Amino acid sequence: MMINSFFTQIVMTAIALGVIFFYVQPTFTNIGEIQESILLYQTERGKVNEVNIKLANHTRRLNDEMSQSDIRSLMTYLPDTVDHMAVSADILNMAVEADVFLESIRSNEGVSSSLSTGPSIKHTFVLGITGTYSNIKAFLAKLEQNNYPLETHNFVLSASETDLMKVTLSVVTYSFNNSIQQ
Amino acid sequence: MQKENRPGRRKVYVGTIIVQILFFAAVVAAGSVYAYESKLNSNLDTEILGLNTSIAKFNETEMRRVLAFDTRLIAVGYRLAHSASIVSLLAAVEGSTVKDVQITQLTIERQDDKNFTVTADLKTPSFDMALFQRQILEGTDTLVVSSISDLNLKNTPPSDPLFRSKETLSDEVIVSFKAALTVDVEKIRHKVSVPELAPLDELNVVDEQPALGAAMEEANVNPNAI
Repeated sequence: MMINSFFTQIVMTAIALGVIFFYVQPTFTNIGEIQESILLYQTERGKVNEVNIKLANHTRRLNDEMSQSDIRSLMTYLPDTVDHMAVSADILNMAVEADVFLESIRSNEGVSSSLSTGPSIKHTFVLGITGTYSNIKAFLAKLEQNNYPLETHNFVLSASETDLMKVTLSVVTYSFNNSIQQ
Repeated sequence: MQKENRPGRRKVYVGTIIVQILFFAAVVAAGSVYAYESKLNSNLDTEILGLNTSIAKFNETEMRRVLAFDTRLIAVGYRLAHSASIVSLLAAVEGSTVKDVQITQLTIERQDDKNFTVTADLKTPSFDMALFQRQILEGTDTLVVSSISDLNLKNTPPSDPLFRSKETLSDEVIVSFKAALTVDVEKIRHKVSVPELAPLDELNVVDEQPALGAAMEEANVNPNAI
């Protein structure tokens, strides 16, 4: 038979070796690479799914579990922007309630303080007030009890011959520096 | 003997069998790896599609919103953790000032989120009082004395020019000095006062003890009285 001829056997051997070395062996290597890729994609997909689940949980907590009043309080405590005029009006109202005379109020533009106090922008108001010591203390107490921070950073009290004292103080409030998230 | 040439009997060589096995094995192996590779490629496509779907599900806007909220909470937490009561600080200064000593100027500066520096210009009627005042300041827990400086004696000359009365100080002596103090924010924390409770009469409770809110407010105003 033709298949048993010596030449045919040599050709069959050559084809077999050619198939093994030029197709089967490279394909095996390729299969290994594909398996590694599949493993990598599975891992990354798992990570993305994990992030998606965490995000969904956080979003649900944010939307459903936190009360609107709490969120409003948070936004009041650290707003996106500080209305200098409104804050000045609040300070004036506190001065009137504490029975001290607000001589001057001057505000400056916000300065970012991301290095020292996190992502917040500092807004400073320099006040000049006159009043009795107890009224000045009442005014400072009102600043502390506000629903957004009015921190006293600089306070100079000068005594005079009368009961009235002069105080120069700088009051600091903060806004949220949203640009950090961008 | 003469060999018989039997009809129907074929010669089978081992080499031929090996070659045939090798050939068919190579063909079968090629077919198998092709099929397996195709299956793996299909799986890889499925994984890529799955990853793309997962990525597409990711909501970047929500992520930014959550991150912004988290950062805002951290910032607010930081501010609350470093809040200080200037009223408590004034009360501490009041509590550490001897009755006859007068503060002519008081400067309070918040250096950072951990410390306040307080500079007080003090005026006393005698050295004994100045020494006692310094002792009181050094013994106070809230205020830490950094330095006592600018000591100044202002003495009005007595009416007798020969100093026969042996009095070295007149009645109008003024000893003044400057005290620099450091205050840790931790020690003058701002305490949130509890909202006012319903009047006790309405609750029909007879109790001489002050309400919880009143007690906390009182503690806040004068935490370091001597």
